[in-house]
Amino acid sequence: MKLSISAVVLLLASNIALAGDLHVHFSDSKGNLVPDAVIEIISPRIPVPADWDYMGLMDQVDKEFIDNVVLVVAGSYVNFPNSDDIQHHVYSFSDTKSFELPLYSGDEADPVLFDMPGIAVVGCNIHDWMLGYIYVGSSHLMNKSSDDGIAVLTGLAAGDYTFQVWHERARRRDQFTTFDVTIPATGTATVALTLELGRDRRIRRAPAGSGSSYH
Amino acid sequence: MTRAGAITLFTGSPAIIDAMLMRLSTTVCVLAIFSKPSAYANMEYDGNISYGFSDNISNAVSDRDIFEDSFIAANVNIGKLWVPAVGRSLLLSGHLGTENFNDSTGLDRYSYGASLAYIHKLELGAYTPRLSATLRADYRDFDTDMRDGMLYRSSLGLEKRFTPELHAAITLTREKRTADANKPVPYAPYISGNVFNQDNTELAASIDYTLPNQSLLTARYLYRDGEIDASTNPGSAFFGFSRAIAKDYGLCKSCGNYVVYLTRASVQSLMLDWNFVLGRDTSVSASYERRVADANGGVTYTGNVFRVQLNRRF
Repeated sequence: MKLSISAVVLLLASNIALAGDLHVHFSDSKGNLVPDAVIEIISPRIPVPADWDYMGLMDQVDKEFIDNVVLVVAGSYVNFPNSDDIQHHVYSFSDTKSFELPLYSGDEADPVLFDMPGIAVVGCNIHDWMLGYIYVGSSHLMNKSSDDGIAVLTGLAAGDYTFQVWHERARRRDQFTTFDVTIPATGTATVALTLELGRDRRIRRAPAGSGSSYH
Repeated sequence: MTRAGAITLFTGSPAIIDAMLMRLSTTVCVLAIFSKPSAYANMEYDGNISYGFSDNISNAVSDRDIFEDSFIAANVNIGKLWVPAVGRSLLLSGHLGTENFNDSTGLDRYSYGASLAYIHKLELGAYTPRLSATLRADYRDFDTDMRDGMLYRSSLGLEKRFTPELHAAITLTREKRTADANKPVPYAPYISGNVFNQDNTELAASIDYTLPNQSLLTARYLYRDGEIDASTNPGSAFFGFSRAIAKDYGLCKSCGNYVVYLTRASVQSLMLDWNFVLGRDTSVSASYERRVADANGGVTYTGNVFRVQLNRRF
């Protein structure tokens, strides 16, 4: 994998914390911050808390999926409310979950069960440019990078962990690459990763020019 | 200007039919604007405004007959989309448009009309082929009344997106233009002046490609077989191949006494368009179109049209 770890661990002293945090800083090969990069702890296996809320939400606002990447634990239901005043037709062909929510408005659509870890690519059959991703993790210990390019996991018990990384624009062979990290008893383990991202290959939304007609 | 589309295809008063069409298109627009989106339909609004230049608006052959002009055009489309079943949709639209030339007055026009399109996606998803069948009728009101009339278009389309960047379409269109046969003044008493009743069949193929900077390149080839009108000075040798000839009042303020004639022709057009994103639902495009019409008698008409267009979807 062409990901590089440019910095490893930074310990910040704390007398109070009982567990450490993991901060993963994502940037691309040009130094740009990368949002929506997912990290998930895959080893050791930590049981999902009994009171875990197995629900996710992917809204539709101004003919776009909000959020673009939604994280849920396998076995979760995801709601696809439609906050637009028009109808959408949400679907996915993905092996992780194939489903279809024919034309609906508001909260009419039933939640969809995502019971298998993986990625479900979600689209709208009316508005071809709409594109979203459901990341179905096997662990609840996962998060995605925000606009500052940092993905954070807090309250990890001290020890050695393996986490995997996913980003929609990472090359296929780079998806789900794993990294090892040691979480301190107190403080933060910081990892910086450089992702080699492909171009954004979404279907263009802006209207095409019709050019001139014969008349 | 008067509005008097003569629809010779139909029995009954052209004025009544014309009024019916006007009422239909107006109703579609009003309903589309004011109706609350129902549980089964989405509203679609889009429009464009363009500035362009044509180097042969008279569609003439000889240098002495050819004159160029710039123009401003605007179009608004308001539609309602029904999706009665997965992959099947029905789009009813109202259309308003105008085109105004800088020097020429005779070709200035406004138009209104309606269309009904059935779109069938063969499967679910963005990459499945789409078939479409469209019926469209527009009334066009020109500065020169003899050009006023209906334009009917029925088309069958097939389009497919191959990748997020690559999309192609092919469309077959039958077109009928009708005008009031009594309005053109024949060039000579023994010659028909019915120049603006025309039939055409056209086949268009286009391909779009989105570049990494999100700009969109479009190339479209169009072949059109049927009839065209062209304007020239009186006494042209091309009259021998004409089906109808009429005096062309008002084509151009400084053009003198032009005449317009009807002739059979096969037209080929190549259009290149480069479209840039200005916002989520806004774009601007620059296009160039080259037209070559091979008409009866071995006559070739050529024209070039440049256009800059602002496109907006609401």
